[in-house]
Amino acid sequence: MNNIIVKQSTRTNTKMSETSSVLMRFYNLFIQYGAQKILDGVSGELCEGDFICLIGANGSGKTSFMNALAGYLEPNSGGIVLLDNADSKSFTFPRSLWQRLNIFDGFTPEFFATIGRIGKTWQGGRSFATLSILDNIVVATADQLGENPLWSLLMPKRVRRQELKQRRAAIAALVKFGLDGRENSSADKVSLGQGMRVAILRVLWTCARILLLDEPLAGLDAEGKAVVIALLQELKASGMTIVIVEHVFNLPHVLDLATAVWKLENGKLLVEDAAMVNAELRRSLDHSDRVWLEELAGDRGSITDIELDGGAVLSIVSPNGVEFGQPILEVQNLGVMRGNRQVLSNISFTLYAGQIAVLFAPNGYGKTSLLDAIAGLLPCSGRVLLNGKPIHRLSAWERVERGISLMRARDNIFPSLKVSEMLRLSGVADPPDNIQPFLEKQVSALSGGERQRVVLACTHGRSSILQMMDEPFGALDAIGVKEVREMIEFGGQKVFLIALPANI
Amino acid sequence: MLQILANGIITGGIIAVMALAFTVVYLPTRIFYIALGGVYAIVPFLAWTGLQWGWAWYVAVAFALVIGVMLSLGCELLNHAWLEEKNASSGTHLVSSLGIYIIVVQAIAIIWGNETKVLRQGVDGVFNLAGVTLTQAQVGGAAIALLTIGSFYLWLQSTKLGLEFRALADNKNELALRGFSIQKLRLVAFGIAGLLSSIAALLVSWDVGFDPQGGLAALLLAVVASIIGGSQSFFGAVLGGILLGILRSQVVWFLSAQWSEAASFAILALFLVLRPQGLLGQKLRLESES
Amino acid sequence: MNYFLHLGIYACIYSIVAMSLNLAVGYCGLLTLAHAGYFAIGAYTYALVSVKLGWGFLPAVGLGMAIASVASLAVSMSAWRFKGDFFVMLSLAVQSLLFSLFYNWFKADADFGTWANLTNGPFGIAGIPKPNIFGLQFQTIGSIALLAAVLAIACGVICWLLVSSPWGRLLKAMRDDELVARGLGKNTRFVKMQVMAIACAMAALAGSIYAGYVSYIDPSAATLDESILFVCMILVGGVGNFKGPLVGAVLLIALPEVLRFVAIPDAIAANVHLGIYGLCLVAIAHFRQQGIAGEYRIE
Repeated sequence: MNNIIVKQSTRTNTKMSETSSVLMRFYNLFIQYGAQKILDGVSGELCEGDFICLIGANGSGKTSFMNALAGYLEPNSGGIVLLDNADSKSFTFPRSLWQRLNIFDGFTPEFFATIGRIGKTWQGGRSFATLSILDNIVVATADQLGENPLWSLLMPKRVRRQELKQRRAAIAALVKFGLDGRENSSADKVSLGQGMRVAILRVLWTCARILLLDEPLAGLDAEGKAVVIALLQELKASGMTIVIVEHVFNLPHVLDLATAVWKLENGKLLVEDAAMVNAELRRSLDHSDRVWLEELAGDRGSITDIELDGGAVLSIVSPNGVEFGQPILEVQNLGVMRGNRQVLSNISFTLYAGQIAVLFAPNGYGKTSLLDAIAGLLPCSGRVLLNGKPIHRLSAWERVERGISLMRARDNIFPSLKVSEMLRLSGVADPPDNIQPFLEKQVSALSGGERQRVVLACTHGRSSILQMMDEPFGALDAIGVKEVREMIEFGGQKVFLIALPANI
Repeated sequence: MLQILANGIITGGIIAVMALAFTVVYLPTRIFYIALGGVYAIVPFLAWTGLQWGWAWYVAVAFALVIGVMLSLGCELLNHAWLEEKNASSGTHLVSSLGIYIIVVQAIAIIWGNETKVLRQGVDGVFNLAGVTLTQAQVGGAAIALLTIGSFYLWLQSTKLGLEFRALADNKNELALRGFSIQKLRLVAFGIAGLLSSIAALLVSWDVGFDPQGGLAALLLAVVASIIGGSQSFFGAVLGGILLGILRSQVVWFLSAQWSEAASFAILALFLVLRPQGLLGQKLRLESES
Repeated sequence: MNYFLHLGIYACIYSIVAMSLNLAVGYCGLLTLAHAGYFAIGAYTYALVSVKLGWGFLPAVGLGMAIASVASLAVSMSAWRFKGDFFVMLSLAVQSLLFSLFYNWFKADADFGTWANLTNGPFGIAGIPKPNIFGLQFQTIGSIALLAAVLAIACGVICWLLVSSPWGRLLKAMRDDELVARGLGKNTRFVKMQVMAIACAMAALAGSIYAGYVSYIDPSAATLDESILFVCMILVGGVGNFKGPLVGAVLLIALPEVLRFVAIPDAIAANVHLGIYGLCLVAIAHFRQQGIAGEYRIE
């Protein structure tokens, strides 16, 4: 498999490096959106053969950092240097006007891909939907004669020959990746696991020597994960340099392979030892949310676990024993499509008064889609009933009138309003004390923690019979977490539906 | 020198009203409301017809404004709201809006003919202020434009509906989750856009006359104004409009009126290259951000 | 018989325009409202160099296509920063500029074709000679029809070859997911420049044939209405494949003829024609986004 993994470059001016050399250096990277500092002076370097795990809480800037390293996002200040033995190409930020105008040489993803030989993959793979699998791979070939319209018309024989050679090599590679027979399938018809393999093969086909992988295991089932992890092992063995972002529950799989761990916290980058992080992680994962659920159930209560299609578990806590009577929320055969992809299908469950339901699902499952669909923000198939009456044909605001409330994890503020105005819209008459200090500030000028406090305060504005929360503990501090837990514990007859990230 | 500036500010004010009309729909709904040019085109014809029928000027104006607003509401009710139900892409909204614009303009040409008309007869009264000569139409136009923009801001910042509107422009989903009807607010947006563009159309046609083709050119100016002012805020549109008016009047003075179209394009190109987020915009995330 | 040949020539001219817009809109998603301007560039260039300099058809057309390709930068550079809605507006601005050029580059007392009065403004240029290729004069309507058909078929073949080549595959990939394509090292901005250059050159070719056939050209060929008509043609016919643009072109020819039979008064015939197109656009947007025979839905 080695000769597929590290593809000989079709470029004529590269050399294979002998010793472990620095491939990329970045210094004092600073990224800021409004008042939020995403990266606050991040520096480091990437050496050949490194296998780096990039970790950090959701919203800590991992994606922005990776996008900057791939040439997609221009930092506010700092610099990045791409090295290739003796040659180097450096970029300092902010870019000047003339530098920005130059389309053949600049801080762009295509330039980083060709000169820095950096390849990026996205969560879910993102194959080209209207091309076949084979075309998805072959299109990635660099320096194709046929990609110039003039040559493809004037030199058809040479173009054809190059094309055939690439196609044969690609078919052989697909066989080795376990995708034989699927060459001509349309890319949108393969499974998520196969799609991820196609994405990785596609990026390898560009002769990349640095791979930036954004949550490659997201949404995969156990078999899919095993295949991708095996692939990563082979890539590492053949000397590929890899930076991988993974969700905390998938990390143990990849930490075994890591040479170092980069941790993003409060905008700073810390380099840690992989083995130590691994051990610490295994310890903290043992203390699962299960304990909290059992506390909620107490002595008299019970917990029912329902397995949902696609690999998620809905744990329903009934604090006062199993209730019968009128169900509050009934979900029947719910399905959600995002573009061409069926994100959720065949989701059914029923919740009664006072119950607390926790949806444990890994990243990429569709937790947000499920909650959004029940709230009416996304179209869906199937039926949803509240208090016995169907609501799946109603608009979101009509459902809110009937008593549904949703606290979202992302994109949950009004940037240009003042905090007092946002609270007023939410129906909060008395702002809590911890918000008083910045009541008249614009929401976009708040720090991450202050924003979360405001979002939490807004949930107290309306009384509801069903309170849904999407990853509520993600960006909260200890006080916030305590407040949410108390809200749930003392919820009374209110039904809670909470989505939490989990391992399967 | 002052004269050119004064002329520029006044025409700029009217462009600002139209730019505001466009932004009022674009910001909250992301719909590229080309049919607004149709509303702009038809309103002066309606007023003209009212005058032909012997109505007093304020009756004719009120009539035209009401029909203009109703036409704009019609666009939302009969077209864009439907498409929104089907989760149509923004390109589809644009194509349908373009279709409606074409239908309206051709209808105008069929009913009223293609020639330019005027709303007032004879020579206009002239004022002299600090060495600057202004026609009655210009002074009236400036005053009404100022009044319109001022009332809009007052409404936006101090009323409950204005707050809901600002929230809609920020985050439609979160507003829906607080129980506010997005449907109703969209109608408000289209209604206000219709009113603002009708006012702009009447001001311009009172000054220089009107013809069926004028709508798209006015809309183009409005969009250029909102881009250079910063397409992310309502105030940006106004600032862009005034600036564009001033720059255009300079061009008309130093070159000739025929090149003012080309000048608008040149100004737009300059902004796109040097400051694509407009004067008031925040630095846009690079388009290549995933 | 001549009537059908006349229609046939127009069908060929509009097919070429439709195929060019198919590349820009159907494969790159760039809905441009400036195409009539490039059509007119081809027409005016052919008119000027054949009347004033006596050039033959092929060199004149070549020059027109070259100028149109260079001028296409105005549209492709707009595409770098703006997509979708704002790009349409920018193309409108380019359209405005081009029309302005044809209408205003005019001085009453100077002879046309000189630098003072390049286009003769609203009076247009008359007496354009019929096509002449290496001494072979295409004078009869039948011969011109043949020439137009050959050129249209040639364009069709070239488009087909391009679309099935690796370049065509790159266009499809860009259309699916431009960010990912860039991450694979593809310079998508440069590719968009290539597409617009080819599309504008083809529009210029169509314009030259038009000028050679009608023997008269004026700024009315470069108006916004013409651009809108072109765009309507491909939106109603459909893009993303080969049937769509052809259906669109045929419909564009057929509609005024059909209207003639319904006895609409001449004064408003053009308005009714355009109005029907407006209605079609709304219908397409609501019920059939890929057009009558196309494959690509507008994003």
